[in-house]
Amino acid sequence: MFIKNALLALGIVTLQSSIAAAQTPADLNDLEIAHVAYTADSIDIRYAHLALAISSNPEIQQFAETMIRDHTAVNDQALALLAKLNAQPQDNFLSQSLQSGAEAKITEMAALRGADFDKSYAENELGYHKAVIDLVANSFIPNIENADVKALFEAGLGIFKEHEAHAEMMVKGLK
Amino acid sequence: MHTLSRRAALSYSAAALAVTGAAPLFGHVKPDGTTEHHVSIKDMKFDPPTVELKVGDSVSWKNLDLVNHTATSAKAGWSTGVLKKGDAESLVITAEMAGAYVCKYHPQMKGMLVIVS
Repeated sequence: MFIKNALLALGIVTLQSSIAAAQTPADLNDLEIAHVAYTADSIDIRYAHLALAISSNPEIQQFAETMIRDHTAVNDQALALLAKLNAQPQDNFLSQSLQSGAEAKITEMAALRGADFDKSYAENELGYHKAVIDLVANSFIPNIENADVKALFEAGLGIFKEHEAHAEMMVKGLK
Repeated sequence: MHTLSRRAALSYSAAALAVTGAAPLFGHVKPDGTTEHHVSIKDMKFDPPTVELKVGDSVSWKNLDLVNHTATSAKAGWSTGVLKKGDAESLVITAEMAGAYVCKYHPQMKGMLVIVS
């Protein structure tokens, strides 16, 4: 159930039947998981750039800058590890679903301004990190085979949990 | 002036650690008699989170995480500056620096400097 909830929170609302018929996140191999993680990091970086462009709230801007800095660092580490392993991340249904969900969310948030945008961005960051944490902790880490890849995901999980707590504080501060 | 034997000091420090979670009051004693304490930044935490020290001691923070961190007290007006992965910064501790500090990027990361006489 938590995986289904995580997918819903990530904006993947049209794929339940196809997921049931084809694959679940737990079926992905290490290189597909790496692709999902890179995609998820890149999406949060895009959300952050949108926040920097629209919001004038210093707390939102500081959070967005941290998201760009941290998710870029994680992705750089992931790319370095893949290069060391002489491997390429593999596109898959979950990466594609994340991407289409993000496009819809960005279109929705880009139409907002002021406090409405800040609230939407903060709540989306909280929900997004909760969902990513669920996927990483309960679906990805238990199924990753390569020890170095697993270690990177474990490090990433700690970072995402801090982001979640930070986002929660931000959401409360905006109420 | 403390006159505790090393064994007594170790027992005292172990008891203090058990009660408070603070770092024991010893570290690398330098030739000038001050002590350098070490704080690792790992898994998005300061380890140890609390350091007991004397004015004039130093604290060295080392970042072992993937992401950048700082040790910063806006209230007391001090900071290590940005610590990238693998970076370390040592600061000599003054009385004014006592109290809570955070990573300015990650406010859930909290540390504490406790001055003891």
